[in-house]
Amino acid sequence: MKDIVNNKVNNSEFLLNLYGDNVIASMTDPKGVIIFVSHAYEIISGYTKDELIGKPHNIIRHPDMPSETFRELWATIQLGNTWEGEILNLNKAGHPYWVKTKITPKFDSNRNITGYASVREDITVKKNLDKLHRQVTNVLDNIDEGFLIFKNDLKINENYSKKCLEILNQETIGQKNISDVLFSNSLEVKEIFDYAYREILNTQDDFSKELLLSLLPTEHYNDNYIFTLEYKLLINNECLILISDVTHQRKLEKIIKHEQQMQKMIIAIATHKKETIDLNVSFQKFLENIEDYPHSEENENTILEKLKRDLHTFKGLFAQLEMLYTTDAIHDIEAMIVSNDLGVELLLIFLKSNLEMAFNRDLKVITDILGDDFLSTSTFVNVELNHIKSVEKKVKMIIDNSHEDKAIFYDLLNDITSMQDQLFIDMLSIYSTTVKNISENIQKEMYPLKIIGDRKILVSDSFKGFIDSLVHIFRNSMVHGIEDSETRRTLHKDICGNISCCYELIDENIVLTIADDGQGIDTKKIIEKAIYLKIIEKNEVATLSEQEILKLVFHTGFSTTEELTSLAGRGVGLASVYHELLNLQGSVQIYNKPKIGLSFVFTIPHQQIRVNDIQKMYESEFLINDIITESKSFLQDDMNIEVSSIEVDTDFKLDSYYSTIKLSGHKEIFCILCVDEPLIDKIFGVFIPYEITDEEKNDIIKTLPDEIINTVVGLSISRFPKEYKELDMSIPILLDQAVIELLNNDNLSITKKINTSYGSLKCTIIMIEEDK
Amino acid sequence: MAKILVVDDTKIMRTTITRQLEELGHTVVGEAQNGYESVEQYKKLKPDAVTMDITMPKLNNIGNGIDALCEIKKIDPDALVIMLTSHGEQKLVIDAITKGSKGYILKPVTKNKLADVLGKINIK
Repeated sequence: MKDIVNNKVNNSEFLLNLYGDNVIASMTDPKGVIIFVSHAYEIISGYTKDELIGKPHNIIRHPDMPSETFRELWATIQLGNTWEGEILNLNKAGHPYWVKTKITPKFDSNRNITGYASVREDITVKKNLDKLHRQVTNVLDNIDEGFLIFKNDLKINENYSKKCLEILNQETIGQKNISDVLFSNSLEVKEIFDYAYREILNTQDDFSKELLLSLLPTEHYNDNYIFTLEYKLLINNECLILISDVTHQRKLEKIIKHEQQMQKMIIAIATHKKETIDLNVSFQKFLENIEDYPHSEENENTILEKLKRDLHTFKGLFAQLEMLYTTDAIHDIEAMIVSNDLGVELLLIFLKSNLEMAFNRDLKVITDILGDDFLSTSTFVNVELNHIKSVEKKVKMIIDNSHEDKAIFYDLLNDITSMQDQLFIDMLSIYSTTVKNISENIQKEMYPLKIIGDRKILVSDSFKGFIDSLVHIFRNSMVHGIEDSETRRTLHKDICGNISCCYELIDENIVLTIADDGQGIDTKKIIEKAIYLKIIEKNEVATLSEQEILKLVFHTGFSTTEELTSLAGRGVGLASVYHELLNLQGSVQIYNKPKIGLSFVFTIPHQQIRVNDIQKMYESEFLINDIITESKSFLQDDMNIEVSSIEVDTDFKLDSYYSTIKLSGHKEIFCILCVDEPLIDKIFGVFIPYEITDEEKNDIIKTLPDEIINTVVGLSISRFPKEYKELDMSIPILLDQAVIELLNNDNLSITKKINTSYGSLKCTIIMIEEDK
Repeated sequence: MAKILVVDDTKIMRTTITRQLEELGHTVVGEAQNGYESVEQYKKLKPDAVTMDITMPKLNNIGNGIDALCEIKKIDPDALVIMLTSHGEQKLVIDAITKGSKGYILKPVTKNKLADVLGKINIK
């Protein structure tokens, strides 16, 4: 029993102690003088029981507590009510602490207040946290920067600055995926962000983490803002992002940059007028033909690759001229080609409209400042002929050595060659001086030479020899045609002789007339002389037309005058004119009006064969080179047979093993591949490395050249110049006699031979023109 | 001053980078024009660092710069390989870094960029 009582006492004591240790409790008399404090009270206040008892509660009062609180407190409890509230106190050491306090009055049996009991809860930590939270929220709400933290699951922490919502145009971003929120308008950027961040999480190496962090997008935009992004990795792979609104800055920069840009462009364009005009033309052409891209038979990737290459070239050219709208537009299109979200057809439509728009914007700036006709006026520059010649030489070398698409080089070569064209009138104008000089020399008065014709007609360099030879026509006219002034006077002719020279372009021919008002040619004298010189037989004369007789003057060694003067009559003069004329595939008519005058009318094809001709020559060379390259790589890479040399073979002979393939399209091309016996044996060994009977071997070995030619030519086609890529490759054919004859006769065939230590392989190309 | 191997498939880039590196006081101990060659050169020359173009033609099963990077890392796990990259190749760069590249330069390559990226890996 006693034990039980003891136990009870012990229990009560334990409970009391527990209470006293944990509950901040106190009691006062009705005046507020402390009469009891719990142990917990002592601890939190820092005062001992002895120091507290008999003192008023304000011993722990914090000066920041408003006195109204205490007035209200007293008013409440003195009326016998319980007061509850939060109070900031100051402990003995001078540290503040917060308590949540409940004060209850004690009554005697007559309901007189005998004192007050109060219990408190320490809420300092909570109060401090609240304060901190308020401060943080305050900062986050008012800071003018976007500030957020996301965790390694890419979800955004709840605490972010309000500015984020504004910049990112969101209602809330807490718990949302960071890359969705930042890059919702660009899948590509989002992918890169996600990919890079995943790798940041995966890697343990801080250096790599930093490198990868630097690859994260640093600037992005949405409908309203342009913002920069700064990243900072925190512990636990959390990452802090500082988002700054740079819209205004960027806009200002853009305006300034734009102004500067315009200036730069105008300077660039004004100083590169010709380039601008050329680029203008070629780019327009490119845009016009853009729909043709997908119609080539190439697959989508090849088309895109080609498009990318073409665009890239244009981009470079536009950038050089500072035409940035177009440059930027091309840049964007390039990015689209890389991502290829649209598909080719749609891409091309998009491309055309976008590039046209950008290009026109650039053009508008140019014409606004430099005037509407800036781009339409043609320009002339002075270039030394040697310079052009050297460029031409280099291009020919490139054509020789290159396996790239050659079409552009032909174009280039054509351009370069035509650069050397001269104005026909300029070439003829030298004869004004000639006429004047001769007239002084032979003392025949002459009117100045009149040259009449379209000043703009250009002719190629190949006219030069002919033009030079014309000196003989002029000399002959003046020495033999134009009479001396005495004779002319008696003939009632103007005493001044007159030679006129006029030309025009008729049906692609230059028709050049050189006419004098001299005595003409005595056809009888021509006949006599021709018979005397044994150019014609006497009995032939009747069969000759007048024209034929007149043309005898062009015969070598023909001269009607007896004496040789220093100026005319050596008998070779007119012959050389005729020779030059034939070189140009021209013809001549002579109009002879005795006593009135003589006219030579030369008709010469205006477009002289030049690059096309070279091109043909070069083209078979290219094709053979491409095929030889593939053959070489076939031997070396596939067959493991070392190639020792490659040579041109001028003496074509068929080897015992050969195959022919016909490529047809706008041209017919025969390709013959011959392999000699030792080499075919070696190749056979690679194809069939195991033992077989001779009979089987003979069957198989015969098909080997077909096998090789299919592989080699098939691969070569992709290397061929553009216009040859569309050629159809037939299956190997039998070589017919007609083709073999062509091989020997026609200079359009070319053979190259690859030598190896085993034997040789020969490739021959024969190009057949459409009309053959 | 460091020994550097320059890898790029175009001659003009190799020349440019070599000149810039030399102006920075480094020695270009070799140039390679494809991944395969770069690995062979690395074995032979043991350079302090490599500048590696990220896109290059394939040769002997070594494709782009990343393949070459991996091969070089096999030979020398501490190799310092810097990737040269163009716009739009970020993914390749990320791959390269995860495979041990120690830096990257976005083309056009300039002396400052080279100095900067080499400085970060303590090559001076």
